[in-house]
Amino acid sequence: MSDKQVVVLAEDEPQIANLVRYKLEKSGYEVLWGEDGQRAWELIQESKPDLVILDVMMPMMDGFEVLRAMKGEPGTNAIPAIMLTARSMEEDILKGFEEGAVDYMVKPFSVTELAARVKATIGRNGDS
Amino acid sequence: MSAKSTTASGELVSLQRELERIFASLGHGMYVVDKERRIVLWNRAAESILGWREKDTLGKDCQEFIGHLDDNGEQICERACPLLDTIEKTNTTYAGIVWAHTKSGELVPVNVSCAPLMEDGQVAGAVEVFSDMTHEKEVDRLKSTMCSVVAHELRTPLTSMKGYLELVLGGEVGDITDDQRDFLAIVGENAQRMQELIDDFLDAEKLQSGLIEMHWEDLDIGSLAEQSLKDLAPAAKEKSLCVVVELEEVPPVQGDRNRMKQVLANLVSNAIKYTNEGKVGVRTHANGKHVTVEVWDTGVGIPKNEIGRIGEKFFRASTAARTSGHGSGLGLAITKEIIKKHDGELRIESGTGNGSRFHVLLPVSKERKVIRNPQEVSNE
Repeated sequence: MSDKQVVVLAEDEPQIANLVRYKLEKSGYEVLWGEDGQRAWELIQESKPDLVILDVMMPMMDGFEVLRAMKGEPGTNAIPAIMLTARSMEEDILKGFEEGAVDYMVKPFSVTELAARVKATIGRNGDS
Repeated sequence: MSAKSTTASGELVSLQRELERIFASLGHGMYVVDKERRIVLWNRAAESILGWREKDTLGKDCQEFIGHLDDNGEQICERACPLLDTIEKTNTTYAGIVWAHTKSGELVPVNVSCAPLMEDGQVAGAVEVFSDMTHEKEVDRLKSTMCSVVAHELRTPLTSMKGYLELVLGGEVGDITDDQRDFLAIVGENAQRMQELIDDFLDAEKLQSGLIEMHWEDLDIGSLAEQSLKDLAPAAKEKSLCVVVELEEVPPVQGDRNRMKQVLANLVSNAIKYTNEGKVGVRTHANGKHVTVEVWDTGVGIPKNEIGRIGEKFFRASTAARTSGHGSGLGLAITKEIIKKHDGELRIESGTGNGSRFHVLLPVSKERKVIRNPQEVSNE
């Protein structure tokens, strides 16, 4: 087992997933990629990651559904989640926070900023 | 003699028949009321759009058959009946899109226009012509849905483009030469422009469809104006423009802070963009009812005959298009829409080569109407 911190990335666009994975792996994280919401939810349950990045619009389960599933399970409800949304609609952002997300980024986002937010969130969570 | 008058009255009869035929076969709904609003004529197209037959309507108050409703479904007949308005304000005409109910109780959007009928210098009634806008409304709705979908779908490829560029330019996948960096930076700038265009586009759509929630608070509009000028001062300095600030103390206005900042930033950046030499400035002043922010410049100006079109989506003044190739014609559409949401008004004074002065009139907090009349707004 590696001692790296683990991030589960739920993103159905392979090119965006590779981009985020590349950046996060370079920043020292182990990244597990779920190509749809269902697969991501399985990875979350198996690996109990340090953080989850959830795209909102995905097949099988959307990002909000994965988030709800996480918050409903004692083993996963404390894992912080960052939402990736293609929509800047305020209601989507609010919905994310109401469902328990800690942060969000609107596409197109800066991958460097995402990495910084991942670091800050994991750090904050580790301290508490 | 008698033969002649027979001919004349024959001509009159045939003229009347011809008018009746024209009236009946007109593709637009049309009816005529006397000055008591009693229907005296009701054509076939009116029958087919609204379902009421001519024999049901003649001699009755037009309100029983063609109520005019605003977008919220409220009756506007008493407060803004196009016909009453027309009759009372002699010689005025009215045009606009309202909702009318049909005999079967459905609502149809109709584009109405009416004018007074004069007799010996007195208003004797009014005539209204209307057309069914159902199809146009539907096309409009489909168009805006399609545009939103396209714009949203464009964000995904843009995310990839910008993200990978960021990695390469950040040196994360190895060293690149200066030329490679410069060229990729150009790709990045263009991706950024595409993103701004999409953002503006979606913003304009959202504002127009009323999907934007406003966060009302009392605003000190003078300091917001000053701030937007400060934020953009480097751009003005780059063009050696003189910046003038004239702020009178003004009462607070109720508004959405971020949206109002967006309005001022847009107006100030336009002033700088379209002014090559001279001055740009902001000024605030107030009367009892309104606070006015003026954003002015000594730039290329807007041709007088184009001022009316400013604020139309994608419209750019010819002077602006000649000055700068870049610009979507969305900034002022967004600006105008936001001001409308504040029950305010955008007035423009300009002329080719004479600079421009944009007046943003906002009701002072206590004057702000609680319920807006959408009809007044949609007629702008």
